[in-house]
Amino acid sequence: MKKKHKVLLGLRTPLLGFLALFLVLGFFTLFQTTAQAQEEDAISSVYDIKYEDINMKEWNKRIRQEEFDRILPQVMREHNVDMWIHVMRIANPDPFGAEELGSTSGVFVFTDRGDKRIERAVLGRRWGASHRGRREQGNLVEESGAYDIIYDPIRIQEPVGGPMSEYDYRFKGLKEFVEARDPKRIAVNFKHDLGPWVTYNRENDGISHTDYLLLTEELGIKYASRLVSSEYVMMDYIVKTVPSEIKLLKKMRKAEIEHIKKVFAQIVPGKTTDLEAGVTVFRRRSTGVSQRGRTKGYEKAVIQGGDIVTAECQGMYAYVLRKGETEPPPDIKKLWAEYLKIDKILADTIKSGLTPRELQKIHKRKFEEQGVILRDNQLHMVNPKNDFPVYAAGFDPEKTHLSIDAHGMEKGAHARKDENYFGPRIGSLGPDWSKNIPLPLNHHFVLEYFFYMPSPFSEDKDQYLFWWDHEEAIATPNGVEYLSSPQKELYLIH
Amino acid sequence: MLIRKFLFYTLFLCLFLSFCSSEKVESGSTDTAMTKAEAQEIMNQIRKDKFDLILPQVMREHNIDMWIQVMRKGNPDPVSANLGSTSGVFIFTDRGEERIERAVFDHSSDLVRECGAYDIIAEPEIKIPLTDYPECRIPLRELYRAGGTEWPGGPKTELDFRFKAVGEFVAKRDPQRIALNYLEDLGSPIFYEFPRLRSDGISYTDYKLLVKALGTKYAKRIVSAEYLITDYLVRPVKSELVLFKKMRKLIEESFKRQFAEIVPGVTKFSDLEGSRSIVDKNGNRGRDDYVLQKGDLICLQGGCQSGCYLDPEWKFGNLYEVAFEYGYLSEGDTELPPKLKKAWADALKVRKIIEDNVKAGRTAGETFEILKRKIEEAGFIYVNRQIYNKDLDLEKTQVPLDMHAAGAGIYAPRIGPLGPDWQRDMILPLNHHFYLEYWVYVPMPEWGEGKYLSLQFHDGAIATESGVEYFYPPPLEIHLIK
Repeated sequence: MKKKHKVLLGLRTPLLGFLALFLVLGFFTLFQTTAQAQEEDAISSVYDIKYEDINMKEWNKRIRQEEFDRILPQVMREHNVDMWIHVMRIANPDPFGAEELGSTSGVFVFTDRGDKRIERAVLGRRWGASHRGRREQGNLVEESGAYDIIYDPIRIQEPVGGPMSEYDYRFKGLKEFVEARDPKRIAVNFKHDLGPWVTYNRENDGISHTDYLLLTEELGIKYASRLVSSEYVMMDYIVKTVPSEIKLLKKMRKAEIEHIKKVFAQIVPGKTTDLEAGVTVFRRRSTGVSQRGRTKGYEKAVIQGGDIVTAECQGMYAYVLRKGETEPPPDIKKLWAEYLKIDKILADTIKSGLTPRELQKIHKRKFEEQGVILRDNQLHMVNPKNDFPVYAAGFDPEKTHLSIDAHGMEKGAHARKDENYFGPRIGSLGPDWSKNIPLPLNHHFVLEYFFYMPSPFSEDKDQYLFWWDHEEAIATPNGVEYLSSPQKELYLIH
Repeated sequence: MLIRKFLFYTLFLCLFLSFCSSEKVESGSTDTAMTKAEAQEIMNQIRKDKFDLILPQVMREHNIDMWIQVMRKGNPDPVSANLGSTSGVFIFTDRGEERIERAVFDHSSDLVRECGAYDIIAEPEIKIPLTDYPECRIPLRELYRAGGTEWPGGPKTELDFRFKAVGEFVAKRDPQRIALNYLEDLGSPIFYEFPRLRSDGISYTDYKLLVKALGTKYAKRIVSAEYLITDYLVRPVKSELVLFKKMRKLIEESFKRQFAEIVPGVTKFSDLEGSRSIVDKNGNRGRDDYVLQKGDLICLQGGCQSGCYLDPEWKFGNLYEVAFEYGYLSEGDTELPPKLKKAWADALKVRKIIEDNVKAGRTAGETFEILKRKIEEAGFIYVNRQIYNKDLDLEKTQVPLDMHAAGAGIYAPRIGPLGPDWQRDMILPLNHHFYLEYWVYVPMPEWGEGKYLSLQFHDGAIATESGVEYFYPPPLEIHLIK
């Protein structure tokens, strides 16, 4: 009995010890995790921007209204279209319809009835709540206040079957609607001329062939023979901006600048990574490796002295000082001056009303005058990638190479800004048709360009320093209007 | 002594930590879990078997010499998993031999090139005009591999390359009837346009480009591939059933694990990943935060991975499995309460009727009529809607049916009242793979007016000439959870 006690006691002692040890370890782990979490929380990313003072839903509503009031009559009349039918099905994702028009299903019909205002109707099979009570499509159409005629959404509950299928209902009643308006030219969402660039493989083509057959069957020969592609109407509708949109973009930019300044201030060289801060880091790396960390295995970089930290979409740049440095070294200063020079030329020359083709000629001349070689391909993307010496052969080692891809941006009534390639595109990329579209008034685009500056101070064998800008801006008849004052001096991170 | 203690604690700590880490690695794995490579191997086998066995059958039955299936990433097509790519122009040609020729044009996928199921893979070479550099040609695939980059533009757009070389290819084979993926007759069920089973097919843009590539002579020969595709999808091959068996086993393991995890008074309904419905002993239905109690009847739903909603990473496309099983939280009793026992007995009786009467060779509509009659003769009330009718005989169990084709296909052939008539007009092929989807609604007046107990079933099965066979046994009992 005594022995047993001893054994138990013998076990209890280390057991208590374990408990104590685990408590201590647990406390430390907890403390460490909490501290780490707090530390991680403290690093804010560029992407964390929340636009807290902006009621995006209300702004989008206003933009949609303005687009319908101002842009719709313009684009339909410019392209001699009396009726624009946009057919959407959930199975065929249509981001334009989902956000600009407000639904992923339905038949949206815009009719020019000769009045100032274009009539806006939402017909067809627009899905409402399911029998389970869910309304996955939302109520944007109803809430937008932008439509004159709205057919009720369809409650989704499969009925007992019969001879009819879904196809019998898709365009039911549309013929009467069209007949009553008797349009001469009807634009429908399919593509004819304005295809994407050659290697793009995610294009949404618009209406299915099945739907086209159903639509033409419903309309009958008279109206079916009046169908044309809506691609030009749609493109112009997307690329033209409205005043509230520009106002919103400036408001968003203000919030972005404040936020990014805070992010830059939080960066601790040697500790913060580019991913944590949501920034791009320009860094001299060895041949074959992306100078902005796009090569596999180089995506995550701890920010360090000598780096240029960028929020390129806002045109914000900071230099990270090395130990002992009080200002950027000469090659970085030269790089910054080169950026300001190139940006100024673009800001002065890109004007609404000009086509990208006209701009190409202007740019070639202007940049040549400034000793900059304007090139079609992006030097870092030519195979083998990021192998600059190969491609520098035969070129003047004193001259900067520049490649422009100032493509469109779209905000419209979308939840967030996005790149838009369906429209004018300044620079060498994009199909020829995108060079012939004049920049609309207040064209929303990005000053995207890459330049490669020879660097005599370089320690590595790459003789080019890379620069990338992707700043959103507006093209006016007088040149570029920035959404915020352009940065004049490199920020410094100590 | 201190050293001994220190060593002991250190050893224990090491053991504890190693135990923690090994548990982390092992967690979530099951005997039947599949790696991506295994899943791909299974799909490859199915693809090859379907091409070898089903494709010649359906093309000849529908008098089709060439089947052109056009798919684009921007226009999701559920047939894509069967063919191995979300994009490409797939051309199947009956050249009079046993084997159907299989060719793929335009940009497709690595899987298409690697699966060994295709005879011809032709990708367009993109001509890249570079002003500062010698013009070069590069296969699209290589371009994507090089980082998916865009090159300086030119007069061409992506539309110009979509059907490159297709015109010559078709002319050389001179098909009399060309089936193309669009629909004319076999419209989807009313209110049904979700892409899970079938989309509308080729876009109008693509149709115009294809017609231009083929020229008038061959464009005139185009017909809808709807019958062919439907038949191609609904006829299973053995390897497909092996996959379904594997899936069902995964679901079964998940059910067992979840039932074993239930602790009455502690486990919440929402804690169970497959929670479908719960009803307590008084007929009240529980919601997500409901804590499971003794006397509850719980229904778990298992599908491919969990729930019935397809995981976007699901590697088997429109091949998926959904099943239900039930558990009763015993109140100390050794068997089910009488009413529950009766409900289960009714469910098994209905299942037996289905097993004996669903046979290959009949149309779905004929089978449906037979089942309705047999169900009534067995003392049940057949109901058309999946809604309990409180005004019918309270002594009788009500039974609705919706025995649609399994995962692949657009629910057709469909033995039941839902969907357009063409779904009932289809003949059940030999080894037709379908779901025994039915309900039993047992009136429960003791729970209150209009109350009833519902049991739903959705077990995969095969229709043979002599009746139903299973590739995995359906549930034989309600699990008794003690």
